[in-house]
Amino acid sequence: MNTLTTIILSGLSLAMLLALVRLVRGPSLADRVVALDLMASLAIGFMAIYAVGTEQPVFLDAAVVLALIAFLGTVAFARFIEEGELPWRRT
Amino acid sequence: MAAHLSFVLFLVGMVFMLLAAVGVLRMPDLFTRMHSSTKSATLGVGCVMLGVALYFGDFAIATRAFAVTVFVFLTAPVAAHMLARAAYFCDTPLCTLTLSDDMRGCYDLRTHVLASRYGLQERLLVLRLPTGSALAGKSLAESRLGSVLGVNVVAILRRDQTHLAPAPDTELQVGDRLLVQGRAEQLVGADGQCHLPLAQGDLEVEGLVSGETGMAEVRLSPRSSLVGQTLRESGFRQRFKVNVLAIWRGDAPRPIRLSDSALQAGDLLLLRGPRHALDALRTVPDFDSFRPLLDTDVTMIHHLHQRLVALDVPTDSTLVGKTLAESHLGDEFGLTVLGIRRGDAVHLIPVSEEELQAGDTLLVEGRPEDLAALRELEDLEVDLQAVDELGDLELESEQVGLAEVRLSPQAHLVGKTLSEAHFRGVYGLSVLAVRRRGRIHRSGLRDMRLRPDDLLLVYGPRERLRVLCDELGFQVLTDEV
Repeated sequence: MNTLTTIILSGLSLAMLLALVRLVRGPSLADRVVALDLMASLAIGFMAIYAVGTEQPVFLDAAVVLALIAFLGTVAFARFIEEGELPWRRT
Repeated sequence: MAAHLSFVLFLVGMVFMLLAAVGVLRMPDLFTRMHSSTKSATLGVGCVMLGVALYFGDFAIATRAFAVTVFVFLTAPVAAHMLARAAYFCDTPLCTLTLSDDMRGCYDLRTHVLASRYGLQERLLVLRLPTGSALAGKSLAESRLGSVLGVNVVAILRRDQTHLAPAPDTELQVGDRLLVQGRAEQLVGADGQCHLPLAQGDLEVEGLVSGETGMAEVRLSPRSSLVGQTLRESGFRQRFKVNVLAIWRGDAPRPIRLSDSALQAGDLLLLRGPRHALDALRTVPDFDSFRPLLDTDVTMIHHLHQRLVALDVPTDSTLVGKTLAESHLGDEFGLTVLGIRRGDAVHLIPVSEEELQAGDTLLVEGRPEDLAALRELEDLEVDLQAVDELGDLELESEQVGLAEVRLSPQAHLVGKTLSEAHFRGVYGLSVLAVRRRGRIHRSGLRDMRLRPDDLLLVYGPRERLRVLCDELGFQVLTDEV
């Protein structure tokens, strides 16, 4: 892993920390979901850079999967916020 | 080389993602935070993935990087929209600096269905022109439907045809049904008849002369500064505190709108006003001869009868609470209000700031045709059933459309009212609603002073709408409302 990838990874880590602060602070659930969504995007970038740094393109597959999962997570949260309860619990 | 380029892309991507994180932490409310996170994080991921594809230079890896990019670009807007919509329903507070919330009042909070912002369908009404109506053969502009009833004529239904956004010179025919947009409760009385803001009243014309008020006849001197000016331009009423009842030129009173015609030397003016104001005119050099009149001066009164009429202000009139200036009786109808009877008292020479009250009787002067036009509107019948059947009428066609227009601060309309700017005449479009700071105004638009950032819902021929788009100061937001 060379210096440049290390710098970029530290920058992304810093961004991750900032998003974490928002995740903890809230104040509303929607704010936390936004922070979480951003963290997923940051993680995708992190994995891609890590794959470059370690010369291991396999890590990219994890990035593909995370991109799919993060979207589903945000949509589920949005549904939950809008409906106010879990859809299968509704009478 | 490719490796260098890809590291540049990584750096750019990292900077964008870092900015997204800073935005999410520092922005003041949820929606601005979402704005920063969704936009720049997506761009950051895109940059990084492009760099990865370049760095490895392998087809299989480039495909994966491409797949991630496409997927993020597709899903980020959808997820952000769902989340913002959900948060909006939960009354997530907006930043205190927010100027306007365009969505306020547009959602049904129970069903989460977006309603038509302007609720145009709720305010549609059908008026029918009965047989024998004096309005038949007149153009829409001449009928003065819009100004008297305060409605917009959206369409004319004639036999099986529908004429959308009829031009002001469209002739009305017997049996026409007019689809108008306006406040139903203001228009329709309990009897299902069209209610005019004014009704025929009774006031003895002979009551014009009382102890305090008299009439006089003066001749305009050739040296007068009033020659060539209209009564309105010269501010006659403010200047001399008297009303002009008639202008005689030669042998007959001139059958014109008094306030709009230029005066000539030698014109004989019939004046009415407080006696002291009349007496003061004896010494004014603008007038040559001065002759006080008695109400027994039969020939004068006889001519006046045709030009004077009494109008009642009914309790449900739209004019109640408006000042004389706001009532537009003067500029729209060429009528001059000579007196107001309220209870037992008669106010003569009312000022233009005088507020009209229910039960007032106005003594007005005007051309017989103008007075007739006012009465003809009473013939219109309200067709309440037709509204249901026409409720689904498509208001837009290939030729006619609706558009939402935002006024920018440099628009020349800013600070004026629609009637002052002659919007309808200049642009050939009607304004159906005005949205200001999230509130929708649908009545009294003609007298609303426009401000920058007002949104106007305009309706009319598409080519006219395009002309409006090109004009400075109109920012067309959408043509589908």
